Amino acid sequence: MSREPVIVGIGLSDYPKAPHLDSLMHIAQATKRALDDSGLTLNDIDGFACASMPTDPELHVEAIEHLGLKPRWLNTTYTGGSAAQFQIPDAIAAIREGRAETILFAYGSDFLTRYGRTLGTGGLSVDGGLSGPLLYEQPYGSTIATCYALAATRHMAEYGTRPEHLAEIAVGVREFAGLNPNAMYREPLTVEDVLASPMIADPLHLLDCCVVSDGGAAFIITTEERGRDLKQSPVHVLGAAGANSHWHIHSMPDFSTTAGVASSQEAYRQAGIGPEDIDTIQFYDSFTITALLLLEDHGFCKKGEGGGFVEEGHLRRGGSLPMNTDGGSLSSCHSGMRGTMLITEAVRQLRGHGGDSQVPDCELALAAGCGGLLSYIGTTILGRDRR
Amino acid sequence: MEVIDNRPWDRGPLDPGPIDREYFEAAAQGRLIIQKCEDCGNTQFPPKALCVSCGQVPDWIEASGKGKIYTFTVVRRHGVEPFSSLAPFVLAMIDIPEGARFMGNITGIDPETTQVGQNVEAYALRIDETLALPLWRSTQST
Repeated sequence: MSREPVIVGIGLSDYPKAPHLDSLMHIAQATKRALDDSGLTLNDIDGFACASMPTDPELHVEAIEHLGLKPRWLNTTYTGGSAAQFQIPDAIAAIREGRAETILFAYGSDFLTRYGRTLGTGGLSVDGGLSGPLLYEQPYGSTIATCYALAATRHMAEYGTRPEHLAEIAVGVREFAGLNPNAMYREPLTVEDVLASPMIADPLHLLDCCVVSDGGAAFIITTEERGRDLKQSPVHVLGAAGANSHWHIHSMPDFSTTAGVASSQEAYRQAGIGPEDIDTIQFYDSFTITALLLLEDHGFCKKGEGGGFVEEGHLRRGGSLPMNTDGGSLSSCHSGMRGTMLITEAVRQLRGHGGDSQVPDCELALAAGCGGLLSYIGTTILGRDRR
Repeated sequence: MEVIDNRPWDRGPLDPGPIDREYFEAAAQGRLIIQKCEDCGNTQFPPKALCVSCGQVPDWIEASGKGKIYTFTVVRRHGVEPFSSLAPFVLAMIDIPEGARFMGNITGIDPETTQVGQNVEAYALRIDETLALPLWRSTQST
C-alpha cells in the first residue's frame, strides 16, 4: 500500500476583487472548492497547513475553528510568500510516516479590499517608536518595492541585465493573464509599455511590480493509495525543500543570488531530475526581478545569463519553459502570500486542465515560492507520474 | 563623522532597544560603530546579541566612515511623508572596508548619475539629545 504523497484536490476562492469575502471566507471557499474537486469531505481532513500574515496574525487557528478541524498534524510555519513551499516537506514526511492521512493546505486574504493598492510603496505602520531591525531601513524611506529594486540594480551592474529583459518577463506573464478570465489585467502588453509605465524605484517600473488583489487557494495532499479512488488523477510530489539567507533586505549576503540555489538542488536531488526535465515553472513574480533571480538560481540558465535567456522567449506561451500560466502575480492575483497558488496552477497544468494556457505534454512542473525580501525560497517539484 | 544639528527630525519616532541604542548614541557623538567578535574576528551589522559566526558576545569597533555604493535605487514613489516629498531620492546599500553593509540615503549626489561603486562617506542627522541617524554623502567630484 503506497503512502507516497499525491495532490488530489485544488481550489481557488473568488479573485482578484472580492469585497464579499474576508480572509476566513476566502479560506472556506477555496477549501470547499478543493474538497469538491477531489471528492473528499471535511471529515477526511486530519492535517492542516496554513500560515498567517502579520496582517491576519491568528488566521491559522481561526481557520481551524471556522472549518471545525481537529488536525492531528499541524504546520503553521510562516516564511512569507514561500510558506506553503516550506510546509510541504514536513507534510509529505507526515503522509509517508502515517502521522496524517489527508492534509489540507489553505491561504486567503482580503488584501485589496482592506488595504487598497499602495502596499508596495507605503511604509509599514508603526505604533509608537520604531524598534528592532527596521531601525536600519525605515528611517531611510525603504519600501517593499525599493528592496527588490536594490537587487535589480545590483544584477544589472554585475551582469549587464537590462530593463528590457525584466520587462519581457511582465509581457510574457501578461499573455497568459489574457487567457485567464479572472485575471486582474488582461490587455496585451509590450516591452515598450512596461518601460513607459511610471518609474516606482529605479530600475523597477509600475508594470515590473505585482498587482495587489484579494484571493485564496487550497490544495489537498493524501497518500497515493487513497488518491486512487478519488475524482481527479493524482499529481505526485516528487521533491520539496526550502532554504533561507536572511529576512530583512539589509542582511542579504549577495543581492543577485538567492537561497533558491540550495532549495532547488535539494528538490532536484529528491526528484532525481534536473532543470532540463521541467516542462513548466510557476514562479513567485512579486516583481520581475524576483522571477529572473529564481530562474538563474534554479539552474535554468547560468548566473547572470537570465536576461538573455528571458529575451529568447522561453518563458512565453509556446516556449520551452512557460512560466506563470495563470497570469502570475504580475497580472492576475497577489493577495499577500502566493505560494499556495503556485501549487494549484502547477497541478492544473499536470492534469492537462490548462485550457488555452495548457503546456503541451506537461509531465513535470516546478513551483518556487519567495518569502520576505528574496529571503526564504522554497522549491516544489510535481509530476504527472510517479518516478 | 559630522553630526548635523540644525535640521528638524521628521522621520518618525525611534525607540531602539539596548543594543541598537548604543549604535544610535555613538552616531550622536560622531562615531560610526559596528560589531566585531574578539573570539573569531567576524564583523557584523546591524548589531546583534551574539556573533552570528561563533555565538560569542561581540564588541564594538569604530569604522572610518568611508564606503562604496554596493547597490542603489532612486525612490520615485513613496506613500509616506517625509519621503513622498523628498522623492526622487537615493536609497543605497553601502559597503565599508571594515566589513559591514549599511542601508542609507546618499545626499549631495545627482540621482540620475548615481553609479554602483561610487565613493561615499558617513555623516549623521541628529534625532534628539542622545540619538542620531547615520546617512551618507558623495565624496566623488562630479
